[in-house]
Amino acid sequence: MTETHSNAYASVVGALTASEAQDFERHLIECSACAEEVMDARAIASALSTTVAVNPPARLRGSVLASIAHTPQEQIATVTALPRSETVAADRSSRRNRATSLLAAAAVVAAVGFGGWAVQLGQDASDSQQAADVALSQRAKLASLLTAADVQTAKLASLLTAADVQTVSGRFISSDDSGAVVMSEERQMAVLVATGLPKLPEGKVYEAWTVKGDPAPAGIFTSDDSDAVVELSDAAFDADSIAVTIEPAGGSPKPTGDAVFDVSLPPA
Amino acid sequence: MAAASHGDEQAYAQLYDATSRNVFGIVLHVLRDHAQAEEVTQEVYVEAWRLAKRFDSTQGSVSAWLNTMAHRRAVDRVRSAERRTQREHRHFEFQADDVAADPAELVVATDEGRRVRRALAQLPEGQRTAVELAYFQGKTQREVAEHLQVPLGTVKTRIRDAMQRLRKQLGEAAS
Repeated sequence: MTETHSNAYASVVGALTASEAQDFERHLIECSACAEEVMDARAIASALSTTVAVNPPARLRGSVLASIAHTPQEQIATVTALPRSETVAADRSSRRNRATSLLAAAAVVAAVGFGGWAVQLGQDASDSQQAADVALSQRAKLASLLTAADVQTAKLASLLTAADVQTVSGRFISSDDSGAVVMSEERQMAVLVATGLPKLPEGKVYEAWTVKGDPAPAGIFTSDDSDAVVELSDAAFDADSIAVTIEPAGGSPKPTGDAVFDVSLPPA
Repeated sequence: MAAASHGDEQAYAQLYDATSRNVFGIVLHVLRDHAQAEEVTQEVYVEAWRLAKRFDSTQGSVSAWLNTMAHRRAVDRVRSAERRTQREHRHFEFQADDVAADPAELVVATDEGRRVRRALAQLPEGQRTAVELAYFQGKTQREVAEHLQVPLGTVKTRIRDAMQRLRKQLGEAAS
């Protein structure tokens, strides 16, 4: 790891071999110290290019513009801002932003994450280089949201980087609030991420259920911070859907309230 | 770039105008071949257009993004050309007509370029040489070590120290 660690600056000036570069890119996802160093040092390396600036031939401009005119742009499954309730009090909105970014990041990861982080796709050098960009940018997104959400940070980070991570989003019934189920069989972890949850009256909790035939209890959570990240039981992997109801404190063995959230999971 | 990422070709043309001499410059400098440098520059801009939505301004400037991409492609190409010639047991030589002139003679002197060049010149020689061999000539750290006949660890340290020193100097000059 120290060996890989020491490659941060070499990577920025392009002094790694293809295989060293791949190792380093994997390392970059997990090592925030290196990710920061690289980001910083890239700007410096980029500045070096100003010492050798040369005007390209004029014809190149036309040729580039002609090419892009018929080059489709890659569409990333961008997460559009979640609709917000007009009545949301102003002081809730910043928290909501944080949680929205959490959801967004989960979805961003899912968009690129099917079949693994792009890093793992890299076969030839330029693929892996691109993958490094993606990894770096996603790392930063994740890092920012994970520091914002004071939740089981490390576990969630590990979930989000799983090769088989999947995200299914849903909507809380009777409100604009959103939730998503993020799961990875490889990591044996499934979480429900919920944002902007209405505060519950004293003595009530939210209870998550894995539903396959009869609902089974999958975790209890409250709405103290309006956002919640709930680790679901392993039954989530076999479930047809994940639901949330409002239950008396302590939870119930069977749902007694109406579902406030319900999302169908894709068949395994 | 924000506009370009939504398919605005006009915005992309402006981006090209603002950034292409650095992109072309670094590619030409690494490849030392005009025709190939044009090709790679074209590839970089088409690829950046295609992947525009991946650009993340919190990760640095557009020019850094483009320069990084350009530098990598140029280095990849130099290395695969070297591998090819090694396979063919032939010494790698550029054809005379590929290099219209020494790229150095075509360099556009910009304020930033001058500033960075001054900062480079102030580096201890060992550090400067390591960075130049790696960044401008596309050598791997091992090749740099062989070339300078110093241990690999020394090369790593020199590159790191050089970059940190440059950051300090350029950062101070900017503020």
